Amino acid sequence: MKRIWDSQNEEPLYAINEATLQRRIQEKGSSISYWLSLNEWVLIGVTLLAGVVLLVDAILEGSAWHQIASAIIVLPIPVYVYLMRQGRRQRELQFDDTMLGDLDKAVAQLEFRIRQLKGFMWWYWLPFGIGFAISLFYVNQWYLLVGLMILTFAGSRWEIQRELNKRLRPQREELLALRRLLLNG
Amino acid sequence: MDEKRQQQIFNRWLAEHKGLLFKVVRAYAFNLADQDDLFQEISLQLWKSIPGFRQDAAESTWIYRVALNTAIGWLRREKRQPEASQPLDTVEYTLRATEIRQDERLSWLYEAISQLNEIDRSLTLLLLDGYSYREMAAILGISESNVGVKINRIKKRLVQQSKELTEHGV
Repeated sequence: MKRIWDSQNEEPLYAINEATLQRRIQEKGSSISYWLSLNEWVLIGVTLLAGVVLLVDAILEGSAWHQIASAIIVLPIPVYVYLMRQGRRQRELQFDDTMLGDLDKAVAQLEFRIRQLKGFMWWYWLPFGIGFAISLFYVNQWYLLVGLMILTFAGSRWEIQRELNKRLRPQREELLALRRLLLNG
Repeated sequence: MDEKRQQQIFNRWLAEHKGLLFKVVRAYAFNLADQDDLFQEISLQLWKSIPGFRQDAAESTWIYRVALNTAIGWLRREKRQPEASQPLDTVEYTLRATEIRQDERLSWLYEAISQLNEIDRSLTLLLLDGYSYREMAAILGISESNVGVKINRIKKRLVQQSKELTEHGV
């Protein structure tokens, strides 16, 4: 069997189109790194911008206590997201350079994503929503806007549950099954 | 590491270890379009792995680990979304099949490997390429005794399959 196997070493089955390969690597490489961090940077950007706008508005308007309260609630969110991101990147460096290590890393990344999505409503959306609800306190028909926010909250929660149940949890189970196969199979 | 240096290393790895990559590609993907897609994915992961490569590890061992991990991940994605990597007719391939007439016994061996689960496929490739149990254990991150148990089972299965083939006069 070994002799049959080694026979392919002298005559490779394929030829590589190196120029095309190089182009594909650059295209795929840049898009992967781009999408990987986009989610976190969008969250940081949106919440930071909202917090700063609320704070600047409050300062310009003088005694708008409700806008200062909103900014105080919203501004810690980007800091929290940034610290979570740093923690994730740090943990990713701790896995072994083995197949098992790579599997564990993939599981950890998925679990981070699951935790992030599960906490999204309570750590990002709710403070953000409360902040804006306070800032809308003096707007006419504020209850309509708060009602709209509650509906958006419910819709986001439904979408998150769907993502967790249809995609992320099955993926984690697949990885864990592969891990069991590697260790025991 | 600057990009020029990374590119030099990648080109050298591709030139020196392409045979290894082709074996992995052929063991995990079964038509040219899929093989091309997997080859691109492995190449990308190899390119990205270069800054993390430590000189104390053998290059071929590192490349095998990256290639096998990528192939296993690719296979999982393919099972989930089989249509995702179907290429258009206009897509330019990175791999082209050479005109070499294939040894039927080698085709049979790949066919037998393809029937193993994804972890056993990795071990079979490493075994056939002459890696020791210790090296296989280091690549997979499991114990040598665990490698031994799996290899024994794989050998028995492959030998049994080859006997059946011989009995049928092939």
